[in-house]
Amino acid sequence: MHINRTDFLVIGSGIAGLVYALKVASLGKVTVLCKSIPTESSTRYAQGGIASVNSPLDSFQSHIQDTLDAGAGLCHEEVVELLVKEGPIRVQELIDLGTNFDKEEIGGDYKLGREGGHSVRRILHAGDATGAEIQRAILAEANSNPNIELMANHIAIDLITSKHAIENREVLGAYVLDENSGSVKTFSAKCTMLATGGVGKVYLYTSNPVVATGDGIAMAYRAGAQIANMEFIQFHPTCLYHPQAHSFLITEAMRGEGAVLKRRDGYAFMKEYHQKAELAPRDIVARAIDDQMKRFGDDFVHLDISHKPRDFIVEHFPTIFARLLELGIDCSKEPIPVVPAAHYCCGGVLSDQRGRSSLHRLSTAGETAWTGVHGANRLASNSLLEALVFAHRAAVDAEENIMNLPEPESPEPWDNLGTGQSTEEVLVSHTWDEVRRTMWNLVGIVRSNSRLTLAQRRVTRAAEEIRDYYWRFRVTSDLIELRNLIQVADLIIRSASFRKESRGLHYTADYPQRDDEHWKRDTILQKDRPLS
Amino acid sequence: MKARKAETVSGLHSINRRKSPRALLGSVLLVFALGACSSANRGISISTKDLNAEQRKALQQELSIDVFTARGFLGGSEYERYYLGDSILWRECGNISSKRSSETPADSLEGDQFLKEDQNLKIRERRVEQMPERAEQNLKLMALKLIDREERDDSQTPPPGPFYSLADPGMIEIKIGLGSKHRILITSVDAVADKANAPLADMHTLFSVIRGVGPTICDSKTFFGISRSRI
Repeated sequence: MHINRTDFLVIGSGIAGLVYALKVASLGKVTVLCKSIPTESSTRYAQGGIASVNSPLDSFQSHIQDTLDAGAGLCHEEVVELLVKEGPIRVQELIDLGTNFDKEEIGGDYKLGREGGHSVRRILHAGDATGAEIQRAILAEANSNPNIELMANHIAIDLITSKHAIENREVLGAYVLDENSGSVKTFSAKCTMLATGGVGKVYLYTSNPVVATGDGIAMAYRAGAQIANMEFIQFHPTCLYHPQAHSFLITEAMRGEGAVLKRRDGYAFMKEYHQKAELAPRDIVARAIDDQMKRFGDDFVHLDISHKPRDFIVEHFPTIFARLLELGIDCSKEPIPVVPAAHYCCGGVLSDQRGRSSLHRLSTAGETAWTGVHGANRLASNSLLEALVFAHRAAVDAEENIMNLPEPESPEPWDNLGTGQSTEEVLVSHTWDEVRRTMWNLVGIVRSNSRLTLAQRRVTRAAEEIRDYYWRFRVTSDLIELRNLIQVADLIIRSASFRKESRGLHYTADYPQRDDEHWKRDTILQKDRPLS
Repeated sequence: MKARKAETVSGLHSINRRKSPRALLGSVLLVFALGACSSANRGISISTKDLNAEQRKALQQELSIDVFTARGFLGGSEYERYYLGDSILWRECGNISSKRSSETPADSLEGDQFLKEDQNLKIRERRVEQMPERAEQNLKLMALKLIDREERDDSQTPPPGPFYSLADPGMIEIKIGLGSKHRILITSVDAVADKANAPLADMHTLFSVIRGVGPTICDSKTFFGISRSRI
């Protein structure tokens, strides 16, 4: 069987994967796997911006402190310091690659935004489509680099590892389904970079694109890597509720500009939950909406900005206004139906300061990675910066260390013997739906012991069914994603069940208080090891 | 039996990579570029064997430098500003639209107000660079020299001038912090450009080294006679 050999196997084509690819391309051949088309990643949908100290009149200490405050005691301060101090240089590199952030109309200075949790204006943005602009610039650069091969419609199935004990285990490459041909390819690489983005699709409602099925985290866990803090899932308060629009986020800036949250009967409820009403912190707004929906049995609430002039709305929210209009919603005349949605995973594959996972030859960056930056809650617009900084650090590690390693062992090719064509695809679609509803209803914004126990039981059963299915039938992309979703769901539930307190993004009705004495610590999971 | 779990085969195999000539050429160029870039970024520490004790101590100290300079020309006034701290160099350039106001910064100073306390400054370009180690070490030695001269009251520099017309000599203000020592040097752009005496020549060297870090901004290779030095 043919083995595809490359120096760097990059799984994922968002900001972390592509920046890493661009930086290691001078060292050898880089293969970037995109499970869909290369532009389809969470990066593309990032509306807000990228936080970075942009002048000496801002200060590193201020950005560090804002990040620590948001992280509710679980940020690793030395890593936050790295992030913040290296950020400006990495952002400059992004600008040098051709990213066009918004500038003032007169002069060439950048327009800086201010978001919740930041004490000064330090958010660079490109309208309300910052991620798309970044993606455009880095993808253009990657496409023109002869050492980088972008492979569309290639979905990784599993990492291939050596047979060493877990402490010395090496990642040798990956098995990959080529959806164009339906065949499974075996890739061998000197270093594998996991940059597959987040896990949002594990929940019924998410702001993430359809590709965010936690593939990197699930594969890393199965391979034996350490996974950290999976209980901390950030929910965006306002995602559009519409049958034809998946994952469309209504920016929080709209509340900042006067939009009001209302029940379907028109009652503005936020004043019951926080003195700042609509301007309350993100987690409180999300919890309030969740409470209203569960209490009144509604599928959504309304976000109403129709009292503002149409020109004002069009000027401030051009992308959102246009998209809503396409869907038949004129938000200058009627309220927008919204639900909270899984937005960002603060946990992930445990990574050191060089982007290394606990397995040899396996690096990770972006939302897939846990670096210690975000703690129990992520500061707005820090995620793109984290991806940039740690993709760079992983590339430096590749240059200084990984290139000096001997060639990896040759992996065993994929073997399809004994498998047949599935005749029961409905099992996959049914289980997919069941898992996502279970996670939404039982492991969402408000958790409890009984909900988590019930969720664990259902997900464990689903895992057994899909494991059997996986071994009997040929793999499809739906099956691969479902298998990963179930794996990630299990990791979230186990982590959430383990933490007997409420902190940051993890809120449980049975332990509503923060408990620094016992729980000011990270939750670490590793296959075949007790949770710690 | 499927090989779907992490498995391996014993024995090592070397990878025989085949590349097209174009890819090979690209690789060679990229590796060359990376090498050049790497050494430029990391810098090379300067030799300390010829330095005295005070100079060696200076190399271990924190350095901050804040430079503001402005001069007029036929079409108006231009300015450049640099701030070095934490081994990061912030750079900014632009135009001065009319006479500078003396207003102080607002109480709610925010990050986007970088160097905008004077609303007459119109920023054209702003960049940030990692300060190369070797350049920073050299700047520390230059800073030490300038501070020593100030302490000995050995600085004979003309006063700064206005910067609104071609005939004005302009102004340059250099604030230096090295360890616990802080000094402010102020004179005219034309005096620094002329390097008529040793203190002015030292200021010229220090400013041109700072100007030489990173790509040119505002398409200004020289600022009224002060060029960009590469170290």
